[in-house]
Amino acid sequence: MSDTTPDAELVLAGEEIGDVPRGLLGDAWYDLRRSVVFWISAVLLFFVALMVLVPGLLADIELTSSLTGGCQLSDSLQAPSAEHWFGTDRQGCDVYALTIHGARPSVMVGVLGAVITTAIGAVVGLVAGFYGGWIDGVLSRIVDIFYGLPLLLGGIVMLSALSLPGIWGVVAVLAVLGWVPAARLVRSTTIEGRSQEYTLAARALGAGNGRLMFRHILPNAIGPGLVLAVISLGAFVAVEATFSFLGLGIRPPGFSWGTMISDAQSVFFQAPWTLLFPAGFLSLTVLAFILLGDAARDSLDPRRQQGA
Amino acid sequence: MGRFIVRRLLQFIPVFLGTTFLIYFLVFALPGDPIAGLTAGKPANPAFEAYITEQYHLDDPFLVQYLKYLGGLLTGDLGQTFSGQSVAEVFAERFPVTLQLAATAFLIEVVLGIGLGVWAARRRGGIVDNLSLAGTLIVISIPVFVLAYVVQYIFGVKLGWLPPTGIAKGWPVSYILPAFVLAALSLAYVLRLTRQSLLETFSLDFMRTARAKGLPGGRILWRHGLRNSLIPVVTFLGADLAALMGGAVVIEGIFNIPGVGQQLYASIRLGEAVVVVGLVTALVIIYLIMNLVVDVLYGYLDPRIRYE
Amino acid sequence: MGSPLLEVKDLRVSFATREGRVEAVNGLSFAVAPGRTMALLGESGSGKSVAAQAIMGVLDTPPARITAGSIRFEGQELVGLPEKQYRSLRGEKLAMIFQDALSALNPVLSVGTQIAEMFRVHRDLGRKQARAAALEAMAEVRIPAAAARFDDFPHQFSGGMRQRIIIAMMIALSPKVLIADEPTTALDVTVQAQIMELLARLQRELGTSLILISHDLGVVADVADDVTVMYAGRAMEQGTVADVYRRSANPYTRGLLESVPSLQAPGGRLPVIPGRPPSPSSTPTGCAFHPRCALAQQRCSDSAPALVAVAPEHLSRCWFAEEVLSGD
Repeated sequence: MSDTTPDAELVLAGEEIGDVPRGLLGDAWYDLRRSVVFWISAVLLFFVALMVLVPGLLADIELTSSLTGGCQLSDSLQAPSAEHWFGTDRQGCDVYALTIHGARPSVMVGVLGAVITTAIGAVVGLVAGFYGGWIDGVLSRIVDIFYGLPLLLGGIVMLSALSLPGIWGVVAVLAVLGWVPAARLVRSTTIEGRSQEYTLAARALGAGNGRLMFRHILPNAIGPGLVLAVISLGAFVAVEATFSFLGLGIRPPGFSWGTMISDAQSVFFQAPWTLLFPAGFLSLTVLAFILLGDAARDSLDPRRQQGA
Repeated sequence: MGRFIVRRLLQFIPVFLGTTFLIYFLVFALPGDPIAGLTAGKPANPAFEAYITEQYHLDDPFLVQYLKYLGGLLTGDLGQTFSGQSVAEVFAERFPVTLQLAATAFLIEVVLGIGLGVWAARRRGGIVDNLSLAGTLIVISIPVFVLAYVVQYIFGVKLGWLPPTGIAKGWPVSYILPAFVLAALSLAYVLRLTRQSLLETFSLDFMRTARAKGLPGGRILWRHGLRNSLIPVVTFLGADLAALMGGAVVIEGIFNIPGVGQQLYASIRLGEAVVVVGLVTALVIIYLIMNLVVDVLYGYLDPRIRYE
Repeated sequence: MGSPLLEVKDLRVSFATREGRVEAVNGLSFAVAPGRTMALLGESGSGKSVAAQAIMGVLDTPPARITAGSIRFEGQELVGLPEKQYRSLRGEKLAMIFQDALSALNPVLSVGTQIAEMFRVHRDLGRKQARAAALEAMAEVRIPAAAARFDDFPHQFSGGMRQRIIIAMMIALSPKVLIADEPTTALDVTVQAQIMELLARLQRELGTSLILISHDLGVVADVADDVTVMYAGRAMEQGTVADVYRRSANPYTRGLLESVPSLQAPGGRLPVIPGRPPSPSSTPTGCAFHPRCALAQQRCSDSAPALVAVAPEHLSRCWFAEEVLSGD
């Protein structure tokens, strides 16, 4: 598996795919389907998707709120049982129902954050890398400045000053501060792609800037960009939880895994289930995205057979 | 080397100005009423409103506001707490504790991360390698505040090996648990990065030259292999100082360590935005300065950067 | 030929691949006498670099493995030699220079440090003496202003200078055998000649045996005493340069020689060998060259010819060696 001489590999790869060219993404998909890591993450993500899209199928929303009578203070801090699979919290709400319904805000922030930061990063990186010169100089200095403001610290400042609670505040923080890695990645692949022979050839044949960027240069960034987006998605889910935990994200009556953990901290020693279930779901969700990113990176890496 | 340092110092100035401007901009120029934001939606108290207006020069045009604020920063004026204490004083009082915590965490991360990374790379596919890959994956997936509670509960409460909160026992005993949690995520990344980077270096031509020269294995690994492999690790460590600063807010809050982070944690919950902005600004400035140090170290490691 | 200094016998090196083991060197034998130059000549992928790395003991294992054969240096068997003893030979008795000098030098250590390291490790010299010895080696390979450039880094040198640095490093301890793996391929033509001259001079002065790995028939003709023509991991023809170039007994060698443009007779079409060299994973049956050979018969695809003597010290691997030899 892991060890092949470069010469032999070319030939072997040719035989294996029956000499049908499939392109980079096709090859990656072929490899991905053979990856155990990919299937583990796929199964995890299937359940995450269920919780986000149709939480009502899995748990009754009524059980998450005392306003609807779903939570009884008399049920406060009960250990897991047949009736309350994950036990109950301080207000007597069902931790299972809270955990299922708490998935959506965290994952929404991750998805929106990943899409927005990748889009901003791609535009900035593409423009900086493609035009070079003073445009690159200015954009790179701007990137340096944003790099100087760490996401968590910058987010604390923004969310303290902005009256924009809920997931939108966190999404705004990510949009403002989270795009730097994507921009750096796309810039470097663009600079690489710009000097490739096929780009030079296309330019010599009279291809315009737009065509060069979107047909010849951007496709090179898709693989690594996708990997970064998936891994950031996982990280952003954790970021949402951290801000909500600090009391800067979702605020009552809204709830998410982050607020559940924050609420649970005072009763953690007597009722650890109030913390461990949302924390476990949160960790598994982050893990699923990281695994997916890892698997995608391995299958997109042309040197993957060397198995580093 | 001297010219390199001077150049880095000159590059530091625009980043410093840009980043402080960015913080100021995020607080005062985004849509929404900064005074409402800074008072966290509490009914505005005219005296406090007047204080904010004066402190941040809100009656002046925006750029003048910023310049006055910058002047304040350079003279050590970070604003005042509700009780009238200077934020700069609060920071000066608490920063040594945070520095001690962060330095301990940094030490753990560097020594264990690089050490285990080297071990894993040398015995690739061995027990340490597989255990560390699985272990780092788990650590990367678990949000830091969850890990904090779990570690605090197991080692501080259940087993009682180390104090679960506070710094009454002094350094190092009281700092071990929080420093480990603070370091955990970065430790995982440093380990993976060191391993991967070393494996890549192993396959480079000059490593074969080193063998052809008849050098002993230790010399090949440490002098020829690791020196090159550390370049991406040092880059990461520079960026990672941000994670340590941000993580300190959460860790100091949970472990009740009286540092800047704990003050921030408390101030966020109290809605003391002036303090939040002031402390974060100070942390960001420290971060920028430390990054400068890392940059210089980077130039020392990689002569190609130095002579650029 | 006197008694050999280095003798390679029936060497086989294979690589682990996803589809099983692949032979890169397949029964290679040759011998080098003291002070002489043996060229391993062949197209890329013919296994010559792998053979060189096997001699130096610097193959990446795994995936590579020496599966059979023997490599004797001064009568001592190197295959299976404990690493500690092998290491004391490398740099000291056996040395190797590489095709791409930039990637062969460590980018983060000064060139002086990298040369001085030889003396620090093998001769146990102190910092100062090692520096002095390294400066001497740099002067020996004609690096101008050696003292001033001692602390410079590889990326600050030109391609030719980098190759001189590698040579300085590798001849520093006057090795008995120097392997040069395509030492000039990456260089400009004028620099190529200078480097080859330098190697030839050092070889004369130090009495070193040289194993020159090359695909360049001209370079080999200029420098080598003996030549082994390699194809698909095997020796196809072996002998003195004069024998192999003037009286070749192998259709592959003949094909190579005919495809060299001649300055004396410009114009006309150059004959080329049709097809491509086989990859190590799909070596043809019988004689490995038969699919590309104009003389191939049924017999050539059925069974592999042995390397047989067509004259004293002149061997060829071909069923029709005698016919080819008398063909001119």
